[in-house]
Amino acid sequence: MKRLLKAAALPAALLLMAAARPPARPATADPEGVRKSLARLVNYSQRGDWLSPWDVTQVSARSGSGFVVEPGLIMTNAHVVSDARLLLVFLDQDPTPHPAAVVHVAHDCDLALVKLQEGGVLEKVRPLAIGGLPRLRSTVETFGYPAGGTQLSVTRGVVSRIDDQVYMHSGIDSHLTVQTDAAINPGNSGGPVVQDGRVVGVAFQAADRLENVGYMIPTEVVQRFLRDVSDGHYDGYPDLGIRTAGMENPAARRKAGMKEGESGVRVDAIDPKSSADGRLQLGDILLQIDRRPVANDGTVQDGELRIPFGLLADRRQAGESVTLRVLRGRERLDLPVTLSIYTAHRRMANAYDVAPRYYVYGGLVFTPLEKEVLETYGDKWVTQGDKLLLDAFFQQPLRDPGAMLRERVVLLRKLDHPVNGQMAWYRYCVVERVNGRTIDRLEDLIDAIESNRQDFHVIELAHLRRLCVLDRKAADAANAEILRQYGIAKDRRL
Amino acid sequence: MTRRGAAAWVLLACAAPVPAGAAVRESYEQSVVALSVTYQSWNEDRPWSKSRPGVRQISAVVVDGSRLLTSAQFLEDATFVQAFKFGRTSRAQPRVDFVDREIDLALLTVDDPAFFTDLRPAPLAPVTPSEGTLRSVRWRNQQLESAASRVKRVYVEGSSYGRVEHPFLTVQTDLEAGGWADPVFLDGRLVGITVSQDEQRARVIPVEILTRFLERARQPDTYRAFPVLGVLWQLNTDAAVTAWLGQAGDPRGILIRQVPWGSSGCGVLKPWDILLSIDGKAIDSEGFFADPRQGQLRFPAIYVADHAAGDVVPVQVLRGKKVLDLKMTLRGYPVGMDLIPLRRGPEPPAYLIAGGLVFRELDAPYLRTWGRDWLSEAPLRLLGYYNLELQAQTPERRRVILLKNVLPSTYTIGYHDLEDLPIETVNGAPVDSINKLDQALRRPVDGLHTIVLAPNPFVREIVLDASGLEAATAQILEEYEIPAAKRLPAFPPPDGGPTCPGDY
Repeated sequence: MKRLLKAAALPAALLLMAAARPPARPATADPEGVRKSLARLVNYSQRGDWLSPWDVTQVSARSGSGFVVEPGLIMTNAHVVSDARLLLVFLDQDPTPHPAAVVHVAHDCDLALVKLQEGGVLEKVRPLAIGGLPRLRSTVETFGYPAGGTQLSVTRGVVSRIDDQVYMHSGIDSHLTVQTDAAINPGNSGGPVVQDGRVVGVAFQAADRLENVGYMIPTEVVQRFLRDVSDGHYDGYPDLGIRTAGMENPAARRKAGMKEGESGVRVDAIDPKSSADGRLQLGDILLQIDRRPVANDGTVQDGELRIPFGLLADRRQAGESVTLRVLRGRERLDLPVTLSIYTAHRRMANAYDVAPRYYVYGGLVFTPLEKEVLETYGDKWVTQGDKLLLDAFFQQPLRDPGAMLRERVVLLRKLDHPVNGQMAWYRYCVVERVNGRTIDRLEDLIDAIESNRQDFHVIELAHLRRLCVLDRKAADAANAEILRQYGIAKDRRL
Repeated sequence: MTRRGAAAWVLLACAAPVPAGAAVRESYEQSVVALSVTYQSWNEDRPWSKSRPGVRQISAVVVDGSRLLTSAQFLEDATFVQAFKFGRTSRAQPRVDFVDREIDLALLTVDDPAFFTDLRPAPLAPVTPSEGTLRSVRWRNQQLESAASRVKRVYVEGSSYGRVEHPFLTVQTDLEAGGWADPVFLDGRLVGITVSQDEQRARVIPVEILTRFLERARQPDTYRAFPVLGVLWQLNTDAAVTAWLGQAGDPRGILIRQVPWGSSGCGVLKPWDILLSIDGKAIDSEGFFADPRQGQLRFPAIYVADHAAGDVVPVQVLRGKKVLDLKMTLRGYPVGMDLIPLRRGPEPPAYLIAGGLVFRELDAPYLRTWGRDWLSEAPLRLLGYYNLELQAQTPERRRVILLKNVLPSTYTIGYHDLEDLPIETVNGAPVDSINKLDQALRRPVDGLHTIVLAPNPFVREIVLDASGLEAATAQILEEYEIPAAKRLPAFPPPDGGPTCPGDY
């Protein structure tokens, strides 16, 4: 899958692309008046650098699409506006760049709301009406500004599948997704997908390896986002915090004590401090969610669709509850579960609009273990990344669920200096203890270093009993010089 | 032409084998034989079957006692061996007489004494030369090839086959595509045999190791293994570490990190000891000692040839800021002692099929099925065991048993997509061998078999109907043409003995 941003880092590249662009399709008559509500967004963005966490990357320019969804507000994808230093909006057929600001951004469902910095312009534009879920095989039109173009492109296709998919922007969240064979290309991101004059989806990603497959965010996700921000703040998706296993095998159902005709899934893991923690137990059989029977494969009937039961919880806001019917032992219990946001696994998502946290001491660079740290290995980080680091990130929380609540801190690299010149281990090592103190977050490490009055700092790494030691006085004395030598303005960002 | 280009050209010019002098040539003809080894390895994915057979052409050298010395690794999975000697008029079928896989050497013999009548043992060189040009020799297409091999260096490394670390001689050879147990001579005397070759760099087991092996193999019943320290350690070059540990002056010795069950260091060395000397020879902070002939060599060279398993050697360590003089009994360390064995040796893979669920041990031969880059490409949940717990066998946990895959049938519905998942218990019993798995599956609970998997993102527990297991297994064997539902290991894995549980 690829996101549909159009990278346009260099004016030369833009010019070249403009020259190479195929002839534009004849403009459709636009009977719905959609085009007057469209916008093209250009995002000059800059990200943190997780390998040199005190630094930032080059500025890059990208363009996407959007539409007026409420008076004064443009809806687009989160990935169109992420990491913006400057955001410009061009209304359709209007060459004036309007500086804009992000009002709300939801990285977990790839949606954002943008307003213009000057008042009065957008308020005159008629918002597009939001429709429902389009039916399979029905025709939809995609509006947007693909391939770096400034003129509207409209493509038509049919709805070819509706199911849940991973949203590539965050990389870890799945929501309902509508697949269409309407051409959706880089630059279409954030544009409306329209049927009968109403928006039925927001174009957002395409399949890398499939022909003529584009995806849109359906309106149930859009509406949920709008409801979430109606209190002026985006909270995000609540999470039950359980992992379940199917009960397709009759022997498994027999062991669980399920009756003939009863179906459900077994709770195999519960995230500590999640919504389900303290309510559900390992081995519970989840029979129903909000009175809807859960099938042995974990799906529930939803209109014409079968969807994963978790999508029903997704439709709720944080603080709302769902009722789960579970089989525990021989009892069938109806348990109301108040849904809360589970933030611990956000470190497994792609990070946006944040700068990496770090601490530099004695030339040693420490940073929390997050997905972005793994991605410093490059595109092939899954296979090429340090295996012990990958194990700490993906496998350890499975072996020890409590590890999910710990922020693992990585000795990322060292900035060479005589004070650390002979150190045996210094790249991508997870830190277990510093000066005898177990490290559960970056602040623990800083405190363990700064409160130490012994002659040495002893850094025990998490794997294979690897050991690093720093001479405290020498490191204290070298700090300012190391920061100066390597051009680091501050020794930490917390 | 650049200087670099010229050098490459000169090397190319030298690459053709150069005929040796007539007398020396005759001695090579009489002491080098070619072996044709037909082999067939096990199919690690379907461990009840074998993969396609192949043939290796390797060399062997005649040694005292009418035996043929070669590298053990090339005899792995051998189904048929033929020996060719000069003139190629006779072919013989040698049999393996003695093998030490950890040092990667094997002796073969030919029962017909006539085979040896026109052969003569190669005299052994007294020592490994530290410089000069040697000759690598082999038979190819009825021709004796003899190529120059220049001594590059002697370096202590782990064997690519066994677990013994010992000095290897590296030569820059003109022999093309060598490394197949080619004997290497100096002035007609055997200096070593090759075990690998990468382009023109060949790795040679040197004569000191060959000599000890041949001496010890004369009494096979009391053969004593080549010793292995077996501990995990790190360089001790960091003055801050040594100062913290209480070592005055320049850093020296190596820093011990982990001490596996069954290793020589077990019960003697402890994590974060600084190992200062072995057998009276001081070890520097990078693990080298001063060898009077070869210069700086890694510490295993202190004991690997001059001692055997069972010998007691003095060791000196810095522990708790005090220098301690201790005694250490040297031990061998068979690869099978690892939790995740690097090699399985002559044993076929053990497996068990229960109603379509295929179980096997996790070992490196299986991990290698992910191809040349298996250390990157194999599933992370399996590599974790290899990277973190390779030598972590304990009396309670001898092996990791995997649910390798599921052969689909109606009996296992719901489980068909599961693969490569380590298991923890079966019917409540911890399982660390195929034997224990086999026993546990005879004890269902309430008519059900419950297999608990190690934590994974998919499923924690597999439940099967016990009454249907036997019939389902029989049907799977028939459907998938599998000759037997299980192959139990012939022997239990080697263990570390009762004296020391290890400190990993």
